Amino acid sequence: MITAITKALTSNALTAMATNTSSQMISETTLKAIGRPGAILVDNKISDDTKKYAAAKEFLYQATCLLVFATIIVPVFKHGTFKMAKKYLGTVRPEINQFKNANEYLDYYKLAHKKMQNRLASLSKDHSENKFTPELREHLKTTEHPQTYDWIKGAIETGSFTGSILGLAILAPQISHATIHPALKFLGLEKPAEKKLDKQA
Amino acid sequence: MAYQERLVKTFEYIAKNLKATHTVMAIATVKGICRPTFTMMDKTEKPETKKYTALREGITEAVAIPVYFICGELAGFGAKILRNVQDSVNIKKAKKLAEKTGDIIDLEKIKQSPEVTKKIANNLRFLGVCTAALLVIPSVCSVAIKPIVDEIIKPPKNPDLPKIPPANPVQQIKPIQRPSINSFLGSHGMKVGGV
Repeated sequence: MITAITKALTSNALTAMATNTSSQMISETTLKAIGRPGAILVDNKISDDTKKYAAAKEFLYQATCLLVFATIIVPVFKHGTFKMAKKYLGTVRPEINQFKNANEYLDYYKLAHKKMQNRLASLSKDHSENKFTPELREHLKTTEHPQTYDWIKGAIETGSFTGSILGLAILAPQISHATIHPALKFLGLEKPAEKKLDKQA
Repeated sequence: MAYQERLVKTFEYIAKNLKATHTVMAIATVKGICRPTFTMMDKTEKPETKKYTALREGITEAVAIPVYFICGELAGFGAKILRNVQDSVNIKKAKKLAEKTGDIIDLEKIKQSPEVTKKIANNLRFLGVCTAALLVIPSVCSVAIKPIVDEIIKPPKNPDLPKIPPANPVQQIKPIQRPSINSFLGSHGMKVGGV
């Protein structure tokens, strides 16, 4: 039992999610989109109309955050930081030039943390044949603990971290402010007080 | 050249030390400042509603920051407990095996390495943050926020809603009025034959 828990907690999939700011934020926002409207709907102190209205508003806000994150933060900040690091730090640390983009580096990072046997199995898959340069592939195949170039990971995470703050705390509230009210009107949930009055009349 | 090396070292430090709790706490902090500010800047809403909404948003994020920290750190602390339990199980197994084969146990090899413990702690912190986002923060907010906000400012009154009378109004029972002696003295002169 305890061994199974330890194995699950050291799994590569969970580690990749826990060490990646983008994955963290996507999973956290998704859970917020479930948890916050859920808590509002469970609350017995509020009337049914108000519950629906508040829950829909909260859900739409979190959905906007998710959309902003997926469309702006990941492509602009994650990939943008990698490109900037390549441009300005590539002269001092030429190892970054071995990778085409941020995703390729992150795939390499994930493989480098796997055990030799699992790594070889992943590399022998059809779709990963042309993934890395021949030197990198050889390095991954022959070295027990391959170099992980942590600073590239740090650069990508810094970009995602900055982007998450700017996007989720500054951009998303502005976008949601402009879009939520029309969306609520479209769903027929805007102005619950008026509805109540109609019903009572 | 020097600034580039310094930047590389900073990135290395970030890669090794960035935890799930740091990101969510930073976002909650900025959200706690920006969301109420944007709400207060909105010109279409009534000032009372703006104040109420801004305060609610601010308190939500103020609650979220310590909850994220506590959940993350508690979950991270669970890694140490898990390590101790796992080590004791592994040692028991190894001792049983050694009794059969007669080999000598190397405790250092059996014990969980610090790297694995760190990995488990990080993963648990992430799970703790997820639990906080899904369950803990919405529950705490639904219980605590309304009384706090109502204590600071009264919620905006909705003039459109009619006042609903209380469900069971206490009816005042009037005492039975008995004819007093004065009622007999109301008229002058003497009457004959009753009141």
